[in-house]
Amino acid sequence: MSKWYEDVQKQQDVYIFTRVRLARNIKGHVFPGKMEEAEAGQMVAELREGLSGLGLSYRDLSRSTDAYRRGLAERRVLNSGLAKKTSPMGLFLSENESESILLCGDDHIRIQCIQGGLAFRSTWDQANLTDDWISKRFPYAFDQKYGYLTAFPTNVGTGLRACVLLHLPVISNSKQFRSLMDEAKRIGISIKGVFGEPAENYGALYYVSNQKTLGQTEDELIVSVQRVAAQLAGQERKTRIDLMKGHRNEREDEVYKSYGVLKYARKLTMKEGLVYLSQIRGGIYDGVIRMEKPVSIYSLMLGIQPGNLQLAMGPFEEEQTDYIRADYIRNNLPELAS
Amino acid sequence: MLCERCGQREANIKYTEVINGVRTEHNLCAQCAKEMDFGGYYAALFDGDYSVGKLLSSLLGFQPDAEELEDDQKIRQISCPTCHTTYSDFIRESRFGCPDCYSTFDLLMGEKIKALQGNDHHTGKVPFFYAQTEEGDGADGAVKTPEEELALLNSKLKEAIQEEEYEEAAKYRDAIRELKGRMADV
Repeated sequence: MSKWYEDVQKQQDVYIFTRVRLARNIKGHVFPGKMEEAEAGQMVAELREGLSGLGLSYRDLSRSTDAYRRGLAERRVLNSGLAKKTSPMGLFLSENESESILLCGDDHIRIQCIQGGLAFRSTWDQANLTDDWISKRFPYAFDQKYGYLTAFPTNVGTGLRACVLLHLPVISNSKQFRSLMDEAKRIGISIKGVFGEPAENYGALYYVSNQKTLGQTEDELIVSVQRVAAQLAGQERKTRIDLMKGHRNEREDEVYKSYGVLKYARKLTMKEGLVYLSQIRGGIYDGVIRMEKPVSIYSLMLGIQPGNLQLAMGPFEEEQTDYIRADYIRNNLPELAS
Repeated sequence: MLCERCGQREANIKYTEVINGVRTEHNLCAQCAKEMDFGGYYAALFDGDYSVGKLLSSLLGFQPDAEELEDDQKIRQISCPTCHTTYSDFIRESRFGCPDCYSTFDLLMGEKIKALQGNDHHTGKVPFFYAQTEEGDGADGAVKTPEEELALLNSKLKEAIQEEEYEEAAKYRDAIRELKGRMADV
């Protein structure tokens, strides 16, 4: 079965994915950060038993290889801090990786649902249903005033982080974009580059998510994220239409050059890979370039990262990475449509 | 723009000084700014090791005056009876040890959480088990005893006064007066 990020039908020009995370803890137990090894092991075992009815496949992360965990972190199933954690930790994961439940990460339970494109309604419904199911089996740590209690006070209340990933290759180059990011912060929304700082955000991928988790309902939080994302997406679309009207030739040149480099280079750094893939992704949706068969460029952007590259291409020496990356892209980037 | 102190490096810190209402601006590079030593709070910024954790800690925690330092020491020793996380641990790591930490540190933290989150009351969904208990029903506002209502109004009154919303406060005061009257009649 293919993974959610490989499904090119679901993704949209600007919207790559919609993700909902819920942090939950079990009443009467200290948070994982304070747990002794044995206690954490027991908690993971109990939760594993209790949640087995959800029909997701289970993996003991403390026994997984580093490459597997790194791959998960690159695919945003784990955060990078947790990928290095060695104490007991478990993971329920659906076959297409769109639904996951992390046991004893930062909190006892973290539910994550993720879908291609803009799909807050169904993504939230799915996470909410799973949450209800679990809450009938395990008593959550909940306080009338503070809501769902979490290890970090930045998650307390709803414990909800609603996020969309946007591809903004054009407007992210504008001077106003920086001030837009600051503006969004004031209304409680965070816009953050996926790979490093905005000035060096290769690939032009941006997370839009809620900063605050307390005092607003889940629906209100989701709507505010969706609103900001829609504004950004609208701006990006409009600017691209204008760009295509005035500068079609330059745009075509950029996109085809990127394709040429990716298709024929023998050595590619991560930065080069992300920058050229981003050009091609924009080009496909703007109708500048056509592939022989549909391809999820986002899936390739995930694939060229070191952990996933190792999972796909087998173990290799670190100094070989850039060569292997070029191989991987050559193998997976389709030919042009004739 | 070059740093006004050394004239060699790029100025990337703008330092605004207001002394007796006179405002002066200085453009400095990180190194000169560090050498000039504006005090502990800023020094950390120039060291370049201002991690998110620390940033959050300083947002959530105290920035004590010298006189408050002794009290502060005592406060930092307060620890959670369940998981033994001290307030000092919390400031350092920006995370709690267990659910009970929230009630242990509520008095110390309440305002800080409000500053961080913009609010200090949960209004979202309620878990299944909690909704089943009486406490949960009360929270839904379905059944309230006069005593509960009085407590709620009192806390709202306090909140309104704190936020200097005097018109709101007057409404709550009248509502409390009326409710007390009704309770006395019964």
